[in-house]
Amino acid sequence: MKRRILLIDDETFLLKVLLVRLKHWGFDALGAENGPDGFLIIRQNKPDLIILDKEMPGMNGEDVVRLVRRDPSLKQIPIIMISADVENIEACAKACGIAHYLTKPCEPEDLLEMIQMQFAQSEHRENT
Amino acid sequence: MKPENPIGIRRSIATKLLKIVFSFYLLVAVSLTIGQMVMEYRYQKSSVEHDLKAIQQTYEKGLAIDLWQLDDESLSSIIEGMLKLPVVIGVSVRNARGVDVAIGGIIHHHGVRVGNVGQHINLLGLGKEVTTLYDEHHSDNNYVFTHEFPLSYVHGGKTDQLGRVTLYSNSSVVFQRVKLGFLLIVLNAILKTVALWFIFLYFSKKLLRKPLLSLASAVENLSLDNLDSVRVDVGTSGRNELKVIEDSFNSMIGNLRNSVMEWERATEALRESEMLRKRVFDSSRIPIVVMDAATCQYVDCNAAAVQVYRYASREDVVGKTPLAFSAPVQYDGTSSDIKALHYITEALEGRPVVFEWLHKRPDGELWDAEVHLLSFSVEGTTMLQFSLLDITDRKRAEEATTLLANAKNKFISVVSHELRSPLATIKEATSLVREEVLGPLNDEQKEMLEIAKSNINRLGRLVNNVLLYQKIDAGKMQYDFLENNINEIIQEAYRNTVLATPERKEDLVINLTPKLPQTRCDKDKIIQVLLNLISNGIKYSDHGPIVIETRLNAHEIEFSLRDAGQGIYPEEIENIFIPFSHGRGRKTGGTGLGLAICKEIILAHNGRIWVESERGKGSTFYFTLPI
Repeated sequence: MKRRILLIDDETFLLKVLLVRLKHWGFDALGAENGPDGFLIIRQNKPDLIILDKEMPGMNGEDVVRLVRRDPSLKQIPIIMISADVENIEACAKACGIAHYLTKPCEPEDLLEMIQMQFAQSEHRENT
Repeated sequence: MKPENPIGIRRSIATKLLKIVFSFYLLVAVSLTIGQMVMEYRYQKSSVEHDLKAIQQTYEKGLAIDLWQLDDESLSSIIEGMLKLPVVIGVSVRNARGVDVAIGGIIHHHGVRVGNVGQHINLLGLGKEVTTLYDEHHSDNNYVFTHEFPLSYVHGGKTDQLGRVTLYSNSSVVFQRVKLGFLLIVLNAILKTVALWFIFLYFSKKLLRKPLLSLASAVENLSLDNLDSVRVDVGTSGRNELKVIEDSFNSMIGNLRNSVMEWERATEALRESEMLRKRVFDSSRIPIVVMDAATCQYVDCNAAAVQVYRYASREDVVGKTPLAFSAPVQYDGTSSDIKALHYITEALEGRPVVFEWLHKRPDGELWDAEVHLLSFSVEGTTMLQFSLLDITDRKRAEEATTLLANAKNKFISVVSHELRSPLATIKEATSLVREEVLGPLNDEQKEMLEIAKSNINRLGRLVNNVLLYQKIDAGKMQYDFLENNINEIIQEAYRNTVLATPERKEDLVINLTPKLPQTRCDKDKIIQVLLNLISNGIKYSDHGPIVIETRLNAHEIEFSLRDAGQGIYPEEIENIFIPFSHGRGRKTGGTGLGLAICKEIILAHNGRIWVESERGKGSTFYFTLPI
């Protein structure tokens, strides 16, 4: 069964090309252009992994992470944060309890490596 | 100038001297006079005795004949004649049996004075004895002395002792003779004493009293104003004690005059210096105010201070406290009085204090000053000196600069972030196409997309470096200094380089000094420097060795990287570490910030970074890290 990944980013073009990339890699890729839409999809579709942009107008990446982590049925979903804010991404990820983050622009190989690592960790957790 | 006489003649030292000397002189004179008189008396007495002997010789024979012949009349006339002689006051003639046979005048009988008995002759010893005629009641105080001689008569070769004659004389006779002599002696003594007294008085006055009084008067009249005119002349000639005193005194005046001149010169110098100080103080363009630490009130200020405070005169400033010129609160929101107290306390502890202070003018206008505060002491009063530097313009400029710098940083940060997102999209989109995810490509299309990829990466690096440099420039770069081995860091940078550019692996020559001491550095930042320098070396030399070496100096480790490229133009060497200062020999692919970032990182490590280069022969980059 295909792994389902939700990508939330207000950059429409980036969202579009990354979805193509994820699908090319064989994932069931879903996309949302803002926080509320993204959170709705999370609740409805329970993705296996969420990739979200830190900066978004309105509800931003941090808010989405907080909502997900607060929901017991969702809080296990691994999250990768991406951001163009190289200065603050590390601190922000740490504050949200997220271990993995990437800065824009990132190498496709790095992204794939990180996704695979997250799934490996999830599988490991499920098995134990 | 006639010396005024402050001391009476009675108390004068000359009089005292006179009295002492004359007491002794009088004693000596009286003794000598008495002695002289005794001598005179003795002389006259012996003269009387001599006269008595002469009378003996004159009358001895006549008396002997009269006694032999019992001639009363003749004896009587002889005795009468003898009694008329001034030295003889009495005569007694005693026969061989010891009986007084003739007496006259004042005589003694058996040692007892019997007074003036008149003249009695009884040569035969008949009738009354002459002794019965003695007037025993007669007496006087005169001392009586006698001259006795025997009477003898020579006839037919034999000498008959007839009796003894006693001639009487007394002291009154001698006194009669010495009377004039005594008078002359006493007169002589008195005259000499009186004369001596006046002579002594005159000369003591002339030699002692006058000079001493003149000295006293000179001393009394001496003042700092007449040192030049006063000169003591005791009026003595020759070298004596007074002359010594005169010389000493004149020398003292001379010294005093010199001292006064010196003092006047010093006072003048002080006055000039004071005037100079005052002039400097008043004409100083730096506003200066002086405050009494005890009252916290200004006691003095210069014209510049009056001007900068925007008051009309010095009097408007003096008497006020510093708070009258201050804004109610300072830059950090602290109340001015608390802040002022803090600085004043610090200055009173002896430390010069420099701080910025927000002032207020009478019209409410605020102005900024850099205040230099220091304490000093004047005659036991502690003063505080405020030197003010109007930095309002500088402060405004600084604020503007800060605002501008903040705006610039914000701008750079925002721009960088805003560049990243589209860059990520472009990168991702072109990657998808280039990787033929969306369909096959021909070789030319692939090459074009490779070029696009390379430039997207370059743009990404540029954005990263701009952000990094901005961070360094804003002083926000954080360093994590730990003990590290530079050789290991170089090895790591080498491995990364080989991974990125395997085609130049053979050219990279690592020549490290073994067992280098640890150095405190931020490993990641130093790797960044090394990667920058190595990539520069690779970029600017298409081929040829790139030699990396380390060396141990006295207090530092020196790193060098030598390439065999074209080298740097001499005029460009100076600016090579300045941002965006690509040389004429620049190559594409750089961001223009690499070396500037390297320099900032090495400086943050207290190291040095420089380049040596010869055009056509390559360049060598050096940096050092302290150990």
